[in-house]
This record gives sequence, C-alpha cells and structure tokens, in this order.
Amino acid sequence: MNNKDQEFEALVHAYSADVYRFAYWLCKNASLAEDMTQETFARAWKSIDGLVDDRAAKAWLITILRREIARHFGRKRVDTVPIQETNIERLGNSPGLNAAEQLELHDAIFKLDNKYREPLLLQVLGGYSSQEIGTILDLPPSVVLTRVHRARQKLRKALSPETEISNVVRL
Amino acid sequence: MSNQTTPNCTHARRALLSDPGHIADDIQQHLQACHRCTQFAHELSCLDTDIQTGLNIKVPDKLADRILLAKGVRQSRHSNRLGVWLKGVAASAALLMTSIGSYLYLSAPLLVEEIALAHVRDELHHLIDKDNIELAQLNNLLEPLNIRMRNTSHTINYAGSCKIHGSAGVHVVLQGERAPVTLLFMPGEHIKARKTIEDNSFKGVVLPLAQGSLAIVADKQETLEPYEQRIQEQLTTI
Repeated sequence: MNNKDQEFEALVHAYSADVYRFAYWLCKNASLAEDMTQETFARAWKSIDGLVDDRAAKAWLITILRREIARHFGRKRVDTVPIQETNIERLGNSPGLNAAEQLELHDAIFKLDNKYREPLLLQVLGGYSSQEIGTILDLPPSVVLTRVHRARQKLRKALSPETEISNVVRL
Repeated sequence: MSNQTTPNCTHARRALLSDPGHIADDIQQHLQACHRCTQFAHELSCLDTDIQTGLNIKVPDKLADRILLAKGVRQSRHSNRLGVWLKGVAASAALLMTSIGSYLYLSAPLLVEEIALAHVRDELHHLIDKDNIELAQLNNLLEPLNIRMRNTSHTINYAGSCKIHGSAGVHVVLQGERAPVTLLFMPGEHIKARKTIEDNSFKGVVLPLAQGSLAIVADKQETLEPYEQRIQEQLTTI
C-alpha cells in the first residue's frame, strides 16, 4: 500500500461516519446519504493530491459532499424532499433524551429550513466556529450566527414547547 | 456574582453562540463573575448536548469498509479501462488498414462474462451482507427460473431478485472459505459451453443452464472449483 492509499484509508476511517451523518441530515434519506458518501470519497480519492493540510480534511470532504448533493438534486430537479426516514433503529444512545423525545427532535431537525439546518450541523456535528462555517457556506459570520441561533430556538421549542424562549441576545 | 445584563454579557453570549466548543479566557472570566451568563452557558450546553445526540444517528455497519472496497474496485476498473483504451488506440490504428474488421470489433455485443462482472461490481455492497438466508427463501426466488437447490453446504449471506442486463435474475452471495462467492442466475444470457471470467480483482465461471446461465464469481484468492462442482450437484430443474 503506497502513501496515497494509506492517506485515503485514514481519511475514510476518520471521517466517513461524519460525512454520512451530514449527508443523512441534508438528504433526509439513508440510502441516498450512503450513495452521496460513496460519491464524496470517490471524488476525494481522485483529488487527494490537492489536500495539502490534513487539518482541513473534514471541511474539504464536507465541501465535496455539498457539491455532490447539489449536483444530485440539480440533475434530478427534485424540489420536494424525500420521505423522512426517522425511525427508532437510527437513534443514537442518549443519556438525556428518551426515544420519543429523540424522534421528536429528529422530526424538528428535518423540518428546519436548510438555511438553518446546515450551519447548525456544521457547528454541532462539525465543531466549527461561525467564522469557519461562513467560509464553508460562503456566508458572513454574522449571518451564520443568526441562523444557528434561530435553529437552536426552533429545536428548543420543539423539545420543550412550554419553555419560553428568552431572546437573551439580540443578534 | 452579578445578576445584571451588561455589554460584557452580550459579548460573552455572542461568543458562546458563535463557537460553543471554544470558550476564550476573557469569556471564562466573565462567566465566573456573572450568574445569568453562567446559566445561559449551562442551558446552551444542555441544549447542544441534546441536539448533538439527536444528530449522531447510527452509521450503517461497515460503511468505511464499503467505501474502501468500492475504491479498490474503481482502481481495478480504471486499470481495465486503460487496457481497453490502449486496445482502442490499437483498433484505431488498425482501422486505417482494415476498417471493416475494426467496425466489427467495436460493435460487438457485451459478453456474458462482462455482464456478470459488471453486475458484481455494481452491487459490491452485497459482498458484505450477512442476511443468513434460509434455503427455502432462496428457492422461492429461484422458482420463476424453474430451478431449485436441493441443499446447500454454504451459508447464504444474501439472496435477492435483480435485473441483470435487462432480465429478472437472482443474485446470491455465499460465505466462501476465504472470500464471498457470488452466484448470478441469468435467465436472459444463453451460452453453449462453460466460460471463464477473470479481471484484476475477480475470477469465475459461467455455466449453461436449461434457462439461461449461472455465473459463479469470487475474489481471486478463493478456490472456485469445489463451488462449481457442488452447486451443479445441488441444482435441480423443477
């Protein structure tokens, strides 16, 4: 196995789960998410020589994934979202939420407009700052901050409808 | 600890919302001094934990293995294509001299061996399935092809109906000694005699059946002869 193969294998083991999760939440469809993940890594393999900084690998893969998803939906001209697939088998282990609450949360995440969902995914799943998300999504950090905040508010409302959402920070 | 919201609070909360994973020293200091912002940070952290849990859905089993397997096959296919491309160049050169011969070469239909290999490559994910199919389930799938298996000495990891080169066939994956063994029942592909298959990754045979043909394909490290013999013994026409 040469260096390029080793580098690619390390990338796959390190990031395939994250890429799949991003794809799942963006496509709302498990089998399509897996196809998009495969396509992303197929493209990554072709252009792996262009990845100079290993620390940027995850953001690089997410950028490829977003292009693949855009290409897929552009090609298919699909305006409607695929069937929502949240089911009990897909739930992760949660110490804080029971299965019903998790399903409710999944539903709320699916219902988020993509402009709110995507920056939230990047922040919570990806661990990126507003500045970094802005670079990935080509948005000013202030817009990212507003969208992530609104996404959180919507999810918080879905999780605890009785809770009054305090606008503690005017963004 | 202060209970009043100050401009520092706005700054701290913006910073927390902007990058919850990284709390700078000045924000940390403010949190120590401000009760309301500490509470805000706590609520935000609890909400993010819940959201993170919700987002962390289970990933399909062996996803990374499947990605690496697909990459291996793409590489092998690429090298095959390169071979085909080189043949194309040679054919083009020959075209200058024998255009009719080249035309016949280029317009040749797909060979049954190519059809079988292409199908195995297109559905590689079945090589890692572990569905543990019962013989009766397999025979239900084979019934429309007027064949059945009397018994099987191998674990059946996958069995399903699928289109193979436009015809409804049956795709089966057996647990091999070293690697999975794929059986493709191809009712639309008729051959007169046994054919062998080989490329950079796989090898196999295609056997004539009363209705179409049967391809047996496996990784190159697998010894196929015993499978070929046993499967022929186990197959019976209905």
